Amino acid sequence: MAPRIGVYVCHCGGNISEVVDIQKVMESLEGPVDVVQIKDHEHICSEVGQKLILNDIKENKLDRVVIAACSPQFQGITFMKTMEHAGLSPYVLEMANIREQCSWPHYDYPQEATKKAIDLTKMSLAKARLDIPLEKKVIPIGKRVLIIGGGIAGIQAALDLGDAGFQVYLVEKDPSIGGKMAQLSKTFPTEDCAACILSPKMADVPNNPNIKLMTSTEVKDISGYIGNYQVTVTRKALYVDPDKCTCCDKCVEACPVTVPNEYDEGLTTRKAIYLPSPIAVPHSYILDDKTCLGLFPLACSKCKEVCEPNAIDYDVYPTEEKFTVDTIIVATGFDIYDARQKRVYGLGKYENVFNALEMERMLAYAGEGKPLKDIGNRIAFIQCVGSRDEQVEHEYCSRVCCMYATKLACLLNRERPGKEIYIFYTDLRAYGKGFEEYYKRAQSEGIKYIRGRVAEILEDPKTKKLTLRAEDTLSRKIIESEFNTVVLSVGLIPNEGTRHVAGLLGLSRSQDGFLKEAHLKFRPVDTLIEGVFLAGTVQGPKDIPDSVAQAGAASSRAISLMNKGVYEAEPITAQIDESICIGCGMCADVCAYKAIEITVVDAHTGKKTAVVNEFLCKGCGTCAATCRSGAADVIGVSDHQISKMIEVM
Amino acid sequence: MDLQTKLRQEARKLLEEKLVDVVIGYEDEGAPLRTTPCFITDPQDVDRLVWNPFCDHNLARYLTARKDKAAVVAKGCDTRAIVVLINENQIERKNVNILGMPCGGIVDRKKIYNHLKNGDVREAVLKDKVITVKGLEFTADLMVDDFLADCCLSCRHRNPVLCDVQIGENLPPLDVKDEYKKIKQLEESTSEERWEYFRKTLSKCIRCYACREACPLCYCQQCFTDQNFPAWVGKTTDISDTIVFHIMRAFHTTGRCVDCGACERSCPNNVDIRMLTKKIAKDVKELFGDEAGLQLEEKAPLSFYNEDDPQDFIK
Amino acid sequence: MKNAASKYWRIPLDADRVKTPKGKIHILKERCKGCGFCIEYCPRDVLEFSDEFNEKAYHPPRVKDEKLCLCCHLCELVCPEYAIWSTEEKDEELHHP
Repeated sequence: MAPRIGVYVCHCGGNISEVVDIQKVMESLEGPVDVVQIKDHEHICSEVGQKLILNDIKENKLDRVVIAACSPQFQGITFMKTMEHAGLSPYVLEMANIREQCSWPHYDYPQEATKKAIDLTKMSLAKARLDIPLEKKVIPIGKRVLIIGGGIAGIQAALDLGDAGFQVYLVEKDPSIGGKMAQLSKTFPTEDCAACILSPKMADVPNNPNIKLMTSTEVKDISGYIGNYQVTVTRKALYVDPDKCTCCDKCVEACPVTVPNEYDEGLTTRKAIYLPSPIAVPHSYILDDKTCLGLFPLACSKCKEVCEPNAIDYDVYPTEEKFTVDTIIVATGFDIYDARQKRVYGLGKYENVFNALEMERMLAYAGEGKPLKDIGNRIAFIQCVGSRDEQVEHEYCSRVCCMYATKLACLLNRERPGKEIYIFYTDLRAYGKGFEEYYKRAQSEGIKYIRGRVAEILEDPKTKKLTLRAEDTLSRKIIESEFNTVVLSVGLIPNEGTRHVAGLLGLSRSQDGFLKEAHLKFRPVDTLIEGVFLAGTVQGPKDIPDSVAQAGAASSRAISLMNKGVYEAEPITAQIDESICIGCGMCADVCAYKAIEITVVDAHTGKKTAVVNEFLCKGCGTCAATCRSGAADVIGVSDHQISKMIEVM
Repeated sequence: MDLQTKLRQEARKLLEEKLVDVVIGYEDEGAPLRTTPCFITDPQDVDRLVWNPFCDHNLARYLTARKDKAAVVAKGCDTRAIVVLINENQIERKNVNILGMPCGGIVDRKKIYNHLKNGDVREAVLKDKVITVKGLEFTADLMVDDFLADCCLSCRHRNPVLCDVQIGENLPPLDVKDEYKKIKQLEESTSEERWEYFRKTLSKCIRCYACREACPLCYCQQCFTDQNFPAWVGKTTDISDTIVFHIMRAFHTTGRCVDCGACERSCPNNVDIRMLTKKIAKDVKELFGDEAGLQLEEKAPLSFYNEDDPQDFIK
Repeated sequence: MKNAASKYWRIPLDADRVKTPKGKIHILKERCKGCGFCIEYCPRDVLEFSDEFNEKAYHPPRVKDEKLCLCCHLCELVCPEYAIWSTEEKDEELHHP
C-alpha cells in the first residue's frame, strides 16, 4: 500500500518566505500519488499550525508527514509530540531545514534558494516514503546506583542518594574514603578545618543503611546499559578484620618495614601495616601486601604475633564481586600535576621546594603543634605550575591554585609571626563567593603578591637556600631574591583512574583530558551515555563547594531518571543484515559504545555475525560506515533512504 | 633435499597421521609457466604437489568458509594474509596448518609474454633458475630473476611470519632499494597527470572481478559492487563506474592488504591495481606505523583510536 | 626504602625518628651447599653469591648491605643446611631505614 504523505511548507513569519518562493516549492512537489496534500502555513509550529497537522492526519488518514521549516534541532521535538498526539510514530516525521540551511544563508540569492528548498523538501519526501513507524524502547529502571570514587563529590552524591532511599554502591580504590580533601589543612576562603567539616560526612557513609561502602576496591568491568549495568569490582585483600581490630597500634610497633606515607605525600613514614589516616573511614588498620616483607612465603608475621584480638589473617585473597545497578555516577577526582616535570623549579632536586599538597600536610602537622620541619621565614609561592602552560600541554586554568596559595600563605603567616611570604602569580583569579575579600585580607595581612612568572630557582648547595629569579611585570624590575622555602602551586590534572573508568564506560574526554559533559551549559553533569553522570573534579578542576554542588546535581539527575521506573530509549539503532554479515568484527572494533558483539548465530554451520545490543547502541552509524559489505545499517537513517534522497536531488 | 621433496614429505605426514583433512598446494597440470591450486586428501597423491617460481596463487583464498582442517602451502605474503584472516575471524588458527615456504619471488608470466612479444609459449622447462621456453618457432633461455613479479621485487617478508612447519631455511632479507619508487613518481606528478594515469589504466578494466576473486581478503558474502539495494556502484565498464569500483575496493583493503600481488597477476587486461593498494599501504605505514598481517590479535589501524592520535587533519 | 613508589622521592622528614630492627647475619660458609634459597627469598635483597668457594666448592652467600636487614629470620627458615641465621642488634643507636 502506498503511503499517504502530508507536506507542510512553513513561511516562518517571513524568515523563509521572504527568500524562498513558497508557491514554487509547493508546485514542485505536486504529482506523486502518495503526496496526498501540500499546505503552507505562516507559523506551522504555532498551536494553530499543530492543530492543522493533527486534523489533517485524522481526516486525510496521513501516515507520513514532511515539514519544510526550520532545523529539527530547533522544533523537531515539538512536531514529534504532535505526531504522538495524532497517534502516529514520531519517526515517520521528516523535517526539511529550509531556514538555517537555506533561506538564512542564501538570503541574497532567492532563486537559487528556492531551488535548494525544493531539493531539500524532495529529499525529505524521498526519505519519508521509506520511514518505518518505530516505537521508543522502554527499559525498566530500578533504584540502584554505582558511585565510583569516594572523595567529597562521591561522598556527597552517596549521602544524597542514600538519604533519598536509593541503593548506593560506593566504590573507592584507596583504603579510606575522603579523597584529596581529607589531606587538606584548612579550606578557603573561610579557613574551616578540612578534616573537621569532612569527617562527619565520612562517618555518615557507613552509618547509612542504603550505602554499601566498598573501599580498597577497583572497578574491573562494566557492561550493559541504563537500568542494567553489570558491574564487576575487585576487592583487595586487607588482611585485617575491621570488626576485630581495636586500633591498639601494637602491630605498627612490631612491623619492621617503613615506607613513605601516602596520606602525608611521602613527608612521613608509615609501616607496612598501618591506619590509612587518623580520620580514615572505615577506621581500621590494613596491611599493605606490596610493601610487607612477604606473605608468600610468610616472611615475618611479627604483626600477627602481637595482635591481641587476633584480627590479622594472612590467608585472604582479592575477591571479585558482581552486582547490577541502574545508573552510575563517576566521581574519580583528579591528581596533582607532577611538578618534577618542570625542571626549572627543582622539585625532586632541591629539598626545600615543596608542592602545595605537601605544604598542606606540613601545615596540618604544624597546626597540631608538631611541625615536621623548620621552613624558615622567607617563603615564596609560584603559581600556575602545570596550569595555563602550553609547554606542558595544560592550557586550562586549575581554578583553585590562586585561592589555596592565598590560604596557605595566610596560615603560614599566622603560624609564626615575622614571616615574609611572596606569591608569584600570572593573573590572580578570585572569582568565587568571598574570594576577593579573602585576597584583600591576605594582602592586608602582609602577603606580597608579585605579578610575574619565576624563570628559575637555584639552590645554594651548602645552606640549601633557594634563589628565585623572576620579573615583576608590573614594576618591570628583575627580582633576584633568596628564600628558605618555595611552594609550587601545582595544577589539577585528570588521573589514571578516570582514564580507566572512561575506557570501561566509553565516556568521551575534553581536550584537557577531563571527562566531557553532554552539554557544557545545559547538561553539565550528564554524559552522552545514558544513565552515567559526572560529579566533582572528574569533569574539570573545581573547588569544594562546586564539587559538592555538582554531586548534588548528579544525584538529582540520577533520581529523576530512576524515579520514573522506566526509561524510553531512542529506537534509531544499528541493525545487521545477517545474510550479508560475515563476522569480520570491524564494526565491533570501531563501536565506541561496545554495543556490537560477534556471535555464532547458527550453531550448525558455525556462522558468525555481528549482533547489536539495541539498548547500548546510540545509532551513531560508525559501524555502518565501516562495514565493507554494507551489512550494518541504521534503522531510520538507512543507506537505502539516503541513496534515495541523493537520487531525487 | 630440495624444498619440493620436503614439502611432499611433510604433506604426506600430515595426511597419514590425519592431522589435517586436506592439503592445499600447487600442482603442475602441464600448462607452461603455470601451476594450479590443488586439494589433496589422499596421502598417495602428495607427489602431485610442486614448488617452483610459478606457484603464484595466494592459497589463503581457499581457507575462508572451510569447516575442515586444512594444511596450506604459504609464501611469506600468503602467511600475512592468513594472519589478517585469523584476526578478522575468518579462519580459526587451530583449523589451519601452515606449511611456510621461504620464497625468493615468483615469476610474472605476463613479463615473459611481453618479452617474447606475445609469442605463443608451448613448453617451459625450469632448471636452476633458468627457464627454457619453447614456442612453435623459437626457443629462449630466460633467467627467473629477470621476470619476477613487481611485488616480489620490493618484498620485505620473504619468510613466513606465521607457520606450523617451515619448509627450508629462512632466506636473507632482500635489499630493497626503493620500495615505493613508482608510487613516489606518481605522488610527485600533477593532479592532471595522476588523473590521466588512472583514467588510462582503469579504463582497461572489463569488470571481470578476477582481482576480487584472487584476493584472499575479498571474502565478503556479498560484495558492495553486487548490491542493488542500495546500488553503491554502477555495473557498466564506463570509466566512472570502474573507477568507483577500484577506489572502493582499494579502500576496503586499507590496513589489510599484504601486497601479495594476486589481484594484479590475475588481471587479464593489465590494470595497475597495485598502484592503488600499494599507495594506501604506504599511507597506512606512514600515518599509523602499521603493516598488515604481521601479528596475531592485532587490530586494523582504522578500527581503533588512541587519545593521542594526531588531529591536525581536522580543519 | 626499597618498595617506595617513585612518586615519593623525598626522604621522609621523620625518617630520623623512626626505629626499625637491625639484623646481624651469621653465615656458616662451610655448611652451605649453594642452593641460593636465602638469596632468592630474602625480601630485602640483602644477600648475594660470593666469589669465594667453600670446602664443598660452592659459593656461599655474602651480605650485600647489612643495613637493609630487618631481621625477619626468613633466611634461617628456608636454609636447608641451617647455615644462616640472623640476630637482632639491640643497641640504642638509631637505625635509619
